[in-house]
Amino acid sequence: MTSPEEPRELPDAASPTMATTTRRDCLRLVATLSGGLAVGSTVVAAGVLPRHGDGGADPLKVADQLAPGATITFGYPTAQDRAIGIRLADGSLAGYSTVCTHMACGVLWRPDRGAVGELYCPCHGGAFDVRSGDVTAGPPPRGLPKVVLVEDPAGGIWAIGTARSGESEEHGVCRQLHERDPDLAHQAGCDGPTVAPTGPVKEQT
Amino acid sequence: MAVSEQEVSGPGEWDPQPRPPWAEPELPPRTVGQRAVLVGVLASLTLVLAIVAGSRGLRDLDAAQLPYAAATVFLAFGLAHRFTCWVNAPAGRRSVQLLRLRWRSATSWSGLRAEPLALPRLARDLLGLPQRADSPSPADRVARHLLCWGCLAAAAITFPLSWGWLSFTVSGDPAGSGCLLRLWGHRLFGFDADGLVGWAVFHGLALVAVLVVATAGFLLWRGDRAATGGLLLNPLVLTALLTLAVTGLLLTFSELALHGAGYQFLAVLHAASVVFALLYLPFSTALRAPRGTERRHDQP
Ligand code: FES
Repeated sequence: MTSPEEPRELPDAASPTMATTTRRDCLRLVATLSGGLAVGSTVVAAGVLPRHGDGGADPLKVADQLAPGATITFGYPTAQDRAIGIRLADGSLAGYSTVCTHMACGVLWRPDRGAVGELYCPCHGGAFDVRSGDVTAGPPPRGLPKVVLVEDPAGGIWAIGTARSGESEEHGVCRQLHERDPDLAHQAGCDGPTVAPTGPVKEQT
Repeated sequence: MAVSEQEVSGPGEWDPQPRPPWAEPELPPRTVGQRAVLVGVLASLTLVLAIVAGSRGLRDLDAAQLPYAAATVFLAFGLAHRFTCWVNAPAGRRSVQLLRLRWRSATSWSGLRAEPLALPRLARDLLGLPQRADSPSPADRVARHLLCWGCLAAAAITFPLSWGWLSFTVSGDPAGSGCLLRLWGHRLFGFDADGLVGWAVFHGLALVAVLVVATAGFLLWRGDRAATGGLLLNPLVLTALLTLAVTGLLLTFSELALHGAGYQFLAVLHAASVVFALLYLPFSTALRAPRGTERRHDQP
């Protein structure tokens, strides 16, 4: 008869490491690993972690003027959501969240890299296309979320909404408008052709 | 004949004294196992709260950090559970008494005057750092020291990173290269991302990994020629450290030489090796009482 204090399994003398690591310990380890994986995936899928640069807010004036090649940093949709506005050399505007989609490091603007410059994350060398926000190098799993920027007749730059990684600006703005005021979204034509996916468009003859 | 406490009140024979009807019901005493689970759960919950608070309500925690953070929560449970069991065992109790004695004499005036190095020695034993008597050669001792410090540095970097406590933000002109290192959202220090300091900050773990690969490889190669055992000479622990360091270095290789090609696969491989090591550690016999806290007759 064995007392409760005695080990249930004899240690393997040949292996000092596994001496008291029993089969039950191994089973416990595997169960913990699998359970943790299942719980972790569920938690992430349920959206417990906040998405950086996601969500809408009232239009925010971020600059009075933005000359070609100039940049501006601001917080949008909340003051904590760090974002950048860039006026490219051809005059077009680009706005992005500057929180890297890999491990949330700050993203820098490198005008001297690539054909028109690129957004670069120094933590693990992630790089993003400045026109689309798509990943061009490094570990980030998805593109940068966009901040939709428009210019008023006086040259002022406004942030009017956000678009998720890979989403078109129109789709992002309309989605937020729908969430906040469906009637206004309808009046703005969001139920019309603007919500159509931005794929290759066939020319009408 | 001496009668042990166990025999007097075994778990099944608990018989509370008659109590007045208005008294609160007396709960049966907890077994060591139950107490260990309770302490483990408390340690895990404390860590979860610290992670949520330190990452500013999970704002600074990303999905890529989650597996590591979860593994440390399980590690906290395992370590607290294991520690409670050990402290409640006779050898553990004796070790704790011995530790208390050493601490008291090391921090008393007379103790400090008689043996000024008692406190560093106590810290060394608690950290498991090697001493002269442990190693057959200076090379062996240096390797074990470097491995110890490498592991401590890696833990000091990895744990706060995986808990979302540390974050990097841009400072000043976004077209420049100014970066800020923040702890719990508060500014720690600023640096130039393109400078030497920036490179060292972003590749600190890779530098530590080089140290770990060299020293763990050396100690594994030395094998049983090393004089004594212990955590850092356990072949499985050394192999696990080597795997972590090599997969971590492969990530840096992918970043620096391959423009991130294969990074996702390597990241999964690295995360799996880290998670397995963190979960295995508290279950393995590699985790022993700090050296110098055991009595001579407890040693094999
Ligand atoms: S955090 Fe940006 S590439 Fe890793």
